[in-house]
Amino acid sequence: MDSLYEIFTQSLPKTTPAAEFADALIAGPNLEVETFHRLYSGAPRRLGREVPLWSGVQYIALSAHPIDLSRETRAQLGRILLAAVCSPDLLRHILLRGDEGEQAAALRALNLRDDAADFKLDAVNCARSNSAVTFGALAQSNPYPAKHFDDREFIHLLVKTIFLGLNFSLVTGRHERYCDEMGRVLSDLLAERRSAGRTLPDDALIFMNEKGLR
Amino acid sequence: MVSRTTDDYMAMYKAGVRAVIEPAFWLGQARTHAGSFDDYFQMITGWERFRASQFGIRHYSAICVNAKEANNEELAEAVMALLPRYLEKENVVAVGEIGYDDMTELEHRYFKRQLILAKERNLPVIVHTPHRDKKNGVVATIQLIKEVGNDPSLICIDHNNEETVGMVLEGGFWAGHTIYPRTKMDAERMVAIVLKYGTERILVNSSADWGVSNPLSTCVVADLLQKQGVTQPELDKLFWENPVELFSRSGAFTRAELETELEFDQSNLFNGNSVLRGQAPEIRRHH
Ligand SMILES: [Zn+2]
Repeated sequence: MDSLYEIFTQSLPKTTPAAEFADALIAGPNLEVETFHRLYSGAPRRLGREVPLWSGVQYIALSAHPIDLSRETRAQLGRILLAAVCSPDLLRHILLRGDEGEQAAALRALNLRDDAADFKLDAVNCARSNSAVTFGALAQSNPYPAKHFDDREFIHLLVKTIFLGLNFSLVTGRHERYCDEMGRVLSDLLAERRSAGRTLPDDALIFMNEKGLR
Repeated sequence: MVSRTTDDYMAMYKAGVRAVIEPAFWLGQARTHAGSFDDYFQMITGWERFRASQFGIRHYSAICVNAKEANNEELAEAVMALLPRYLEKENVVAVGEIGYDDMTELEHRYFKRQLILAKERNLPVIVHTPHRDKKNGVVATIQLIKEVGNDPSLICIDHNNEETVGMVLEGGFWAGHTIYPRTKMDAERMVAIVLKYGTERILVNSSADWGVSNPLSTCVVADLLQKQGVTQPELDKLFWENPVELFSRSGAFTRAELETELEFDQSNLFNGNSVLRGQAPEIRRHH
């Protein structure tokens, strides 16, 4: 976390709102509720909406974490770092009531928290969202579901990835979490699609072939 | 555009619309719980934004206690407490639409307090003006804004007609015109206003609510203006540069950001049977 904080703060514009944000990261769980919401929601216009150009060393550090943070915008990276240190109540609030970008950052931040397991039901609830932004933050290149979801929840996430047109091969841990029930659900889905004269995305079909499913 | 269907978004994209601003307003039936506003604000800063993006349209919103519902004091007070948080949301470009409707004491109070909120945050404001006793309402509106001391170049006074546009422009404000298919301001009258006043600080917007309205009204006006010989640069100014200039001052977007095309799959637009049925599109491009 310390190195992430340093990389992030070095990338910040030299403005008062950006400095206030950096201070908030230090205050962490002690941050006042209203300040948290103001900064967390207002991050895009305070910090910038672009993906920073990282140096090689920074890039390696950002992508080496439990979750790859190298392609986040500066605002989203700021939110992720804030969500990684805020109080559990505030994090839960964002997961339940945040807008798409806010929820997305919180879902990525879960991987940086020691109490990550406590938020499983909140994450499962976010997986009910039909927003590709919220859902995608959880389902794409995020190790959290594979680590914490039970079989039913994980299979649901995998199938919904197909339904939302997201990338099947970006679901982290799909091989490790493979089980007979996952195979059955995918086979049934393929049969259903074929009856309707449709099929599944190539990456899902390749996965099924690898598992010996036809 | 919480009252509209995906067909509307598709037709808008096809007609050239690339961004919308949805001001918080009355939903046709008065809300009776502050929580309903909370969820409504969430919707127009969250899900609706995603929904529009599925059709290549950037969605922004304005947040407020609207004039009509300001008349329920207990409710208005509770909703006022929600505003500071929502005004920070990523897609929020203004406070609005606030203003007078029946010109009551309570409308006055919440109009004024929200003008102050906007002034403190240097945010644009969308101001609703009464449909009944319009001219008098606009006079009172201008008077109150001057009293609070907002920068007029951050204020759009909306729902103007032939009688009010002159004084609004004279005050240094943006003059908004909401087009309705038959009632209030229609496309033909709007054309006459543009021919008379030009395009400087003039805004045209479509009514796109739960009543008889048409989100393509701006396109209807643009077509009529073109037939009257108004040039393309003037049309660009009226329908793109003017709103971009005003609302980019919120810091929520830049013109350059707005002028990059949103990444989405056009087959959803023009291939009728592939469009979302309870689920988002199945084909999307990703980097
Ligand atoms: Zn209005």
